[in-house]
Order: sequence, then C-alpha cells, then structure tokens
Amino acid sequence: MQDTLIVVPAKNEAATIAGVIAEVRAATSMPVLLVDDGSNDRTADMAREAGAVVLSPPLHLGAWGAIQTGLRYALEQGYRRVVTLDADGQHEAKWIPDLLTVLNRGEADLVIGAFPERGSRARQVAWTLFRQITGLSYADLTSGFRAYNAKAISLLAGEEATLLDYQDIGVLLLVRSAKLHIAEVPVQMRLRTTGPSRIFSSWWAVAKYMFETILLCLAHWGKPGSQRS
Amino acid sequence: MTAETSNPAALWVGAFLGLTLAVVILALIRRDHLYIRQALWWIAVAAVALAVGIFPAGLDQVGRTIGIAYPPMLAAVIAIAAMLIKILLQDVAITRQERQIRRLAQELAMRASVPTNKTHADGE
Repeated sequence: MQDTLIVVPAKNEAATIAGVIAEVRAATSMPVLLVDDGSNDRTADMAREAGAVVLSPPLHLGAWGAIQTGLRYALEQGYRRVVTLDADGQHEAKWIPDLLTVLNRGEADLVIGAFPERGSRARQVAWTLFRQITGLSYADLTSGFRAYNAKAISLLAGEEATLLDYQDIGVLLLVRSAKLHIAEVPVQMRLRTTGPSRIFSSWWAVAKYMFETILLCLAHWGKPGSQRS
Repeated sequence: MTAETSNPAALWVGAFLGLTLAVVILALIRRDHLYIRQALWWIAVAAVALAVGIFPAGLDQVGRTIGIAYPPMLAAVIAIAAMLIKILLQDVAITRQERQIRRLAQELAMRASVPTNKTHADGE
C-alpha cells in the first residue's frame, strides 16, 4: 500500500506527535507526512525523529492550508490515496484500514471517519443547523480523520480549495459540487488528552466560526448536489 | 450655460484638485510606486475631477436633467459610488493575492523538503 500517504497537520503538538506517528507506523507501513504549521516547539524535530517527512510552510496557513500542502505534495509525488489525522492523538491509527477499505471499494471518493458522540451538546446543535442549511446528511461534518482518493486529492489540491480555513463543511461542499461521493465509516476516537481545540478557543472564535460557516453554506446554495438545485 | 451658479473661485479649486491629482498619479507611476493597472482607475478619477472643476455647469445640467433637487449632491453620490466600487475591487484583488500567497507558501514548503532532507542525510 505504498501509494497511500498519511498526512498529519500539526501546530505545537510536541507532547503527542511522537506517539501519534509511532502508532501509525506500528499499524501500517504507509509513509507519514507531517505539515508543521508554524510550531514554536519541537514538533517538527520530534516528527522527523519518529520517521515522518516534514514540510514547514514559511507562513501560517491554518489547519486546512496545512492539509492542502500535504494533498499537493501527495499529488506531486504520485500518491493515489491520502489519509489525514490530527496530531493531538484523538484519531486511532487502527481504523485507517477501515477507511481505506471503503475507499478501495470505489463507492466513495472521500471517506469520513465518524465519531459524532465526541461533540458536546452545543456542538451537536451547531452540526444539526449546518446539516439543515447544507443538506449534507453526514453524522460527523467536522471530523479531521478522513481518507481521499486520487479524484478527491486533485480536486482539493486545486486553487478553488485554497481559501478554505477548516477541513470541514467547506471541503464537503466542494466535493459535493464536483459530484464526487462521500461516505462515512463509524470509528472510535479518544477524547483530547492535551490542549484545547484549535478552532474553539474562545466564544469569539466560536461566533466567528459559526458566521463564516453559515455564510459559506449560503454561498453554496443551488450548486450541484444541493437540495435546491 | 448656467455658469452663474458657481463662482470663479470654486471653479479654480475644482480644476486645481483635478490637476493635482493627475500630477501626483503620474509622479507615482514614474517612480514605480503605482502599478499601471491601478493607475488607470486613478487617472480616470483625476480626469473626471478636472472636467467637473473646469465645467461645473455640466454637473448642474446633468443633475437637473435626472431630477436631483440639489445638483451638487450628484458629485457626492458619484464620488461615494466610485469609492465603493474601488474598495470592492480592492478586496477582490486581495483575495486573489491571498490565494497566490498561500499557494506559494505551500510550494515553497514542498520544494524545501527535498534539499533539507538531503543535506540532513548527507550531513557529517
């Protein structure tokens, strides 16, 4: 399975990164790429020591910008599949084969590793709202544990996806607009062991995220695949 | 001509402003401080300001024709509309640049990875 690349975006995850990469390497023989999004701790060094290839963009690109760097690298290097997982240890490498199995069956171009139970009450409310607005029916819209095939990689490596900020609804809407297929596989996730979520750091950040996402959803009305087209 | 609505002093002020704007723009282009694509817009603005400065009666005429009770308001409305359009175009340009900068940063990271690893492996 050397045509699959594991992409891990990371920012200041020195506490967990070595363990995450070791776990991936124990579970699979796939190469691991760490995209270091401006860490000021030893994340990049530790990932390199753990056996990952490390890319360090010179500017802060955000979580999705880091993942897209990985997708573009995969495209350039000729990988046919990419699995993304978070550097904080919440995604378990043992589920990677489950995601790839669904991808390999050819039923989907993007597979979401779904664990909706992790969301708090407030987050469940937000997800329900987003499902209503977008018509996306997936249980876990924001999971960063995903597998992409070659079609999805080349779509999401493109310019159209560059100004997205998060690997969540915007990515799913773009994939749906391109008439690619999305599937979900239920997985277990560990609860975050260290540090707060990058996205939900304050109420202001939550409000900003909500408004941006709602605007993004509204801007996609009437595009192919949505209920209203 | 209904030139009696505007006195000569106002005429000179308008002409002076338009002319100054045009000269400043040309100087900026000449010193390479203003990209020609942006300069075209500002030259057009300077031309309109100059025209209005020299022929203020024209503005009164147009205002009266389209039924504006106080014709000088027409100049203000046009100016605000022009600024809104320009600001919107600027944000479009910023968006394009943001996209290019992000992709450039990604490409830089992709290029840098290969030699960095090589020197790492070659390192004594």
